[in-house]
Amino acid sequence: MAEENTITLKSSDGKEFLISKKAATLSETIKAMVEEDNSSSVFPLTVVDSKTLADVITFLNKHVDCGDDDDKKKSCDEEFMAGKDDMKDLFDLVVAANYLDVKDLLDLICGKIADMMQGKSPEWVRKTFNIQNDFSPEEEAKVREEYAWAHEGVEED
Amino acid sequence: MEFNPIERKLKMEGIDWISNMPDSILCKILYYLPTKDVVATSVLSTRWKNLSPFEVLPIKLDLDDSMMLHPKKYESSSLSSSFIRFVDKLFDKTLHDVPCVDELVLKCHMHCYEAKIVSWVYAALRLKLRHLVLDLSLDQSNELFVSLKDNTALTSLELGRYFDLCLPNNFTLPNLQCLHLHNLTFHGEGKKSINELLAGCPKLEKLWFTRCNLRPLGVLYIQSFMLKNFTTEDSWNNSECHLVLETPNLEVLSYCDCSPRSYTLSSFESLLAAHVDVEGPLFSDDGVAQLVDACSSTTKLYLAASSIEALHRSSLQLPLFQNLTCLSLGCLGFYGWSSLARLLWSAPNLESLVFEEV
Repeated sequence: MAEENTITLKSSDGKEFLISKKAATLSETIKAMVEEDNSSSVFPLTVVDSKTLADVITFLNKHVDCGDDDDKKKSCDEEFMAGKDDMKDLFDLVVAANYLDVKDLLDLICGKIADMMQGKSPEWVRKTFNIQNDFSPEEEAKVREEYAWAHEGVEED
Repeated sequence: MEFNPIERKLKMEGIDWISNMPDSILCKILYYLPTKDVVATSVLSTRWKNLSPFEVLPIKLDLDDSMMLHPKKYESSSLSSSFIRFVDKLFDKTLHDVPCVDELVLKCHMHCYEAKIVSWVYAALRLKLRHLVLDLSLDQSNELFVSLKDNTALTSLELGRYFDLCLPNNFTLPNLQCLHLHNLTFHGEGKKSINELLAGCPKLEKLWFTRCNLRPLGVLYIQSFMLKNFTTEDSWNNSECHLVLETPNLEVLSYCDCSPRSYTLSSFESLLAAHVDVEGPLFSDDGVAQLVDACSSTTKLYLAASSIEALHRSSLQLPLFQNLTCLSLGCLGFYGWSSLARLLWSAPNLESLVFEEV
């Protein structure tokens, strides 16, 4: 039996996670669900799998513990990102953070992905992220010429 | 090509995760990149070219022309014209319908488009710009300050490198909260203008001077009930200037600088943290003691070695640090343990003592 100040989140693959209401409602989406349906204690999240949800819950719990202390949040965030070395996991987290509307988590991961792209040549970014170049050579040359200044001084690889 | 573990893993899976993200997420990723890198993504694929990252709020523009100083493939003139064309189009067309621009950073190293720079700042100010960073040289700054005058949207302003402050009469920035001045020299009209600038910012809460040349000033007036945070670094070299720092509600003071000729200081009753690293000739010992005395209400205090020595030599008594709980010290210096004993005697409620350099 869940206590009054906790709720259960159910992942898309049917696993259940107990979390404090205070941490869960850092997600605007969950906050709206809880406000709309006060009697339920189990909330299904149909687009977030259990692995990603576990990560999101770790993040939410850490942030509740940090309160308003920005320095503490920063070191918590570094700790949280330290283990994240799988790109699929990162993008799963972005999608979950976007769906659950957890601004701090979305900002954190988008910032990390941006760091990977900064100062890199288009060739490098394409190779690293498997982006298919669908321009014809003429089209590509035209775009490159238009923005010639933006392609100067980048790291080729 | 060397890949780190993340990139290797990503490569092996062969899936283009990123392009499959919705526009809103891609724009959010691009928000964290300098404008140059954002523009460079338009050549990745049609998916990226068709994004409109500069129309998604909040808008941050971070423009830096430094890459044109060492061009590899192109003539620098064709590069700078492609840069100018881009920024012109950005303000004329792309941003035409956006309600506001959050931040504009302009770092310009080339001198050929002063008039353009002023027109871009003007265009951004019309879009309710909140944060402006200018790191550039201007021969004529009066037009720039005419366009800034009376702006009510601007809350933070950073001005740096070679231009004189040339303010129109009755210059005000009524809602400015943060002002950072770096590498500025004040001469001619500018000597008067710095005090006019500070007086024209009634809501200023944070003020930094970094590597400015305050030497030619006679007096610098910083008088405000709103100011909470004051930092000065490397700006008072051999200065004959008198510093008036009447800011009774100051919470954070960071003084990493030479001593001014003399001070007029209010007592900082609300001070939470003071970082005192004052370099000065021997005659300024009492000046250092006067500054530390004004900080006697602080809860955290850092004293650098030279400041500890100056306090020891000064004829003024150490104040009683009634609220001090955390004291950090640089090297104890020439007078060693007897300095420490005096400091500890003056801090009855101390909880932690940190030696930062041993």
